[in-house]
Amino acid sequence: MSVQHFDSLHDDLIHDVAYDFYGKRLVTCSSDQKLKVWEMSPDTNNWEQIDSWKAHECSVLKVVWAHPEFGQVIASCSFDRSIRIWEEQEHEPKNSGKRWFEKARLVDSRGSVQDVEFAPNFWGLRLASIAADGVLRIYEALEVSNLAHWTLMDEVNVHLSRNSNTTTLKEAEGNYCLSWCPSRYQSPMIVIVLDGHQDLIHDVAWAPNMGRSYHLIATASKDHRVRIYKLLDNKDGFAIELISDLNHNTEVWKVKWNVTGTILSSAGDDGKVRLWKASNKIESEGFKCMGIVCNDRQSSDTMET
Amino acid sequence: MSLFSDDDSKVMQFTPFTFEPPPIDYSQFEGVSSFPSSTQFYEESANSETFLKENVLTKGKGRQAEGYEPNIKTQKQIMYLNPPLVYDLDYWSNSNQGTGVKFHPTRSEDFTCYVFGKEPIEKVKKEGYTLDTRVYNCSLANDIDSRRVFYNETFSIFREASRATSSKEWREKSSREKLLCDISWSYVNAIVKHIKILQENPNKDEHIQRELNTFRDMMAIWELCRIMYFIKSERYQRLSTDLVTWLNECYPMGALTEEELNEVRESPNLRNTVVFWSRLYKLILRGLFPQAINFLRSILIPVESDKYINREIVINDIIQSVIKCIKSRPKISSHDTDLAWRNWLSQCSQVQKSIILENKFLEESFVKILKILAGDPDAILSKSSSWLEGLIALIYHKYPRCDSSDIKAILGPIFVRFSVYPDATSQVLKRIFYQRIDEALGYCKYIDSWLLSHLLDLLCKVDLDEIIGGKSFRERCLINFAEPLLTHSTLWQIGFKYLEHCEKYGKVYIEEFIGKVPFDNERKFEKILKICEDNGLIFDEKCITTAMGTKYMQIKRYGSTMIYYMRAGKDENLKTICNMFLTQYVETGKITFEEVIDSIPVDKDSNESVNFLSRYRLYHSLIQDEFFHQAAQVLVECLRSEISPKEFWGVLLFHTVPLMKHGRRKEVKLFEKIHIDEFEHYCTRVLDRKIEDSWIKLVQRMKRWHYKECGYFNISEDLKPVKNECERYKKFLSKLKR
Repeated sequence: MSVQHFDSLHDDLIHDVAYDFYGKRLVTCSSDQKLKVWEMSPDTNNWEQIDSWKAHECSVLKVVWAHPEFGQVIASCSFDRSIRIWEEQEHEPKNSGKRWFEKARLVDSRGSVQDVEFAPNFWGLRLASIAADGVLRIYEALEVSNLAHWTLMDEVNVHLSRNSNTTTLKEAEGNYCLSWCPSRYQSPMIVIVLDGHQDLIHDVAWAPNMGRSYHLIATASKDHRVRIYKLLDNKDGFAIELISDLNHNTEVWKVKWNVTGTILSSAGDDGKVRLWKASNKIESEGFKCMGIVCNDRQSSDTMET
Repeated sequence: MSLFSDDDSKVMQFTPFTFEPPPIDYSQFEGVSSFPSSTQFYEESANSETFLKENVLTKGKGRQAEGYEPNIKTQKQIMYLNPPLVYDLDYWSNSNQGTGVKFHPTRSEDFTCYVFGKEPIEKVKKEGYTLDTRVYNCSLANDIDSRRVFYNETFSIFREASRATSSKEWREKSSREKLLCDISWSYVNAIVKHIKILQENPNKDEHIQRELNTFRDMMAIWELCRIMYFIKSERYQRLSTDLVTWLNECYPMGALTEEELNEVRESPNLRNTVVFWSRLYKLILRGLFPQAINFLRSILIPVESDKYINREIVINDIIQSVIKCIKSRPKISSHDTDLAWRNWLSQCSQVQKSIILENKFLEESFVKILKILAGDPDAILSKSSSWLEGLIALIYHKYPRCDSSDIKAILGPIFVRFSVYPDATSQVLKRIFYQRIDEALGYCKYIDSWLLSHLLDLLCKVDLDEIIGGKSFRERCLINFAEPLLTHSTLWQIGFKYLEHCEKYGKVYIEEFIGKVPFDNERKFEKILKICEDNGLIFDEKCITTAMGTKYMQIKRYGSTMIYYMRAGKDENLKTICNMFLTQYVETGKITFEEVIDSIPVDKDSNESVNFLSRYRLYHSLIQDEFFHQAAQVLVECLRSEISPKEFWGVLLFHTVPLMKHGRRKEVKLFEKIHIDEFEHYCTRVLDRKIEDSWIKLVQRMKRWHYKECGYFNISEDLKPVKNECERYKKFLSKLKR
């Protein structure tokens, strides 16, 4: 085990961190309205800042990288209701504030844009977004060399399709999240919200498939639970089954899968990250807590499962 | 920041050795120090860290320790990002902060943690939290850098092992065993070599120490598997000597403690020193007879005084008799073992009966040695300090001709007396003796993924695959081992090669990871493509090639970009680049793509856009060199093939005007009548409403330089200059005909 850190020097809270496709670059976004791009220096083995710039007019909530076949492209979304597309300008010097050029600004949302994610590259340069107005929007750059032009391909009102429970509805307005299915052997699919939670969902993550005959989707919920659903493709659609209902002990804010879909992380209201490892027989033995990352040394509650 | 690992370090001393195949050549022990350096198995050496790992509840002789179940719960790791900080329990739930995580996109056990704001600052009231903007890069994986040489070497052995199964020798049982032992031997040699490298490393930090311990464990397990599973024929009479050699090499006797050494040094008479005898028992137990004989000779007292003459002579005689017994122990490999063995036992028994001394301590000590030699279980186990030592001494002295399947029955009394320490290595060894290789492998995963994957691979080759969980278990373990290699800067190719040996899931992993190998140079890029090609990953090959093209595009190296896009079949991307060059021409009248297009190998099968660009470049160079006839031909071809963008047809038609003029002036027939008809036809198509807007814009841009700057004829959106010239040229042609 090893831990190394660097200070991003944001002036306010970080909201998201994203690796590029190879894991050699990082981008951070913050309530200070800035994006910062970092690169792993092979000489010093440290993350070095490439550029930092004011990207939005409000807090930047999410940031994602596009596949490298589309170039060095970042999409960010913000409380200012916009999505912005940034492309690296190789000719501009590092840390000039001009290295990343705003290629497009997508302003269709009527609420803060809460999540954005590029589709897997085999579906082209597509970007899904979901905003507080409860609308899922899918954009596509039909000419990948022309990042200035994005076509709004789909608009789905998720808000209406939700449970009619008004309390949930009201709360849900502020909490939307999405995740693309990473499998190339399925038609493009995206997950937004799943039934089964007793309370609000903060995050959802679709696991890499890795040759499994089924899909796994994890959710982070306000009711302290991390749930893992199995999706089995059959003739009539997908059979959905809850295969793991894990207790994080506090409200869970984020869930993320590792590259092989064998470890799931859950970040909770206790300042801790729990790592859940898949057993060899996922269906029968499920997931077990393999480790805890504690941000600080709290007096208790460090070894519970 | 610090890291608190609950990892248990296993301390086992290593004695450099060459593992000679049995039977033991006793001469190799001549001159070896009487006090080996390791404390591991010397009496109840409480110093050894192995003892510290013992579960208090299961400690104690007479009880068999409960099996160490290294379940996930006990393996759970805790990582503190900020150990000095102690917030109150409600800090995180009451503040607008949480700890977030993002996994590395290529390494399954690496991730980044950061303190994130749950809500945007616009939605929360200002609060007095401590702002933490640090980003923590965490890794659960072990560093594999120090193992590069070892992994490279053992991959070659792995590959040889894979090839061996299809060889002629493999089909014959006897030569198969030799092949297997050779492969196993190569692996052990690689382990020993790596241990030596680690020992020679001047840096003795925690990591190196941990690696040393792991490799020693791996060697002990691997060699025991070889002895128990890979050698099948001629097993009779060899197992006991194999095992005693294994014990002495993998778990050598411990050195005397300082206290014990002092006792020896200060003792007026070694014969009455407990430490001396304890040491001697060990040597006998472990079959280290030459050393034992040296020990015994050291207590022979030259008889000088008459006073003690009788007593000393008697003791000296006993010593000589014991030495004689030791020396005459039959070689287990001899043909008449049974008879020789019985004779020798009776000789030991006679010597034992003849020992009657005033000094009862001495008498008991001699008797004990003879009892050990004769295979008395009580004597053996009472003087053994661990279950391993007791078991192997019992096999060596009491059941010297036993077979591996007999060992299970011998283990009973061992575990009545001894506990097995709960560490994974001890559990693996115990299960190997029980011939529960499936369970042993289950514990191997807590030792090292290399060991598990490679041992499993070899065991599958001795038809144990059904017992050990089938070929899919082998595959899973190989994939687990190979995965961290895939993104290593130098070992990545080996990683993919391992995956190629996994029939069921290997390709899925190659598919998932091959595109994620960063390529800094074209050599590496070509290697990546070769892996795609070898595994039929056409789609991935295209993605990687496109990414390479885009990489060049970013730095405006269009020639390379186009070459890679052509390889990837990215027609749309190529069209965009070609259109960009044509637009530049329309804007400035300059051919900016000469060098680019000259660097690309273009043929008739090339992409349409590239093909047009190449033809267009040829047209301009022909004009420049005043080869008007050929230029006219190229122009006609370009129009006829319709491979140029439709908007550009008008530009090509404009190019016909000076050529027609030139033909008329010089009275040279550059175009045929049919060509002129075609030009008129294309004029009509260009002026088609569908392309009118873009056409008008193009002409406007072109006008800026065509007439004003370059002084060419005045172009117009209605293509009038072309139409007029066509009329004139037709007249010229009819005149020429007349």
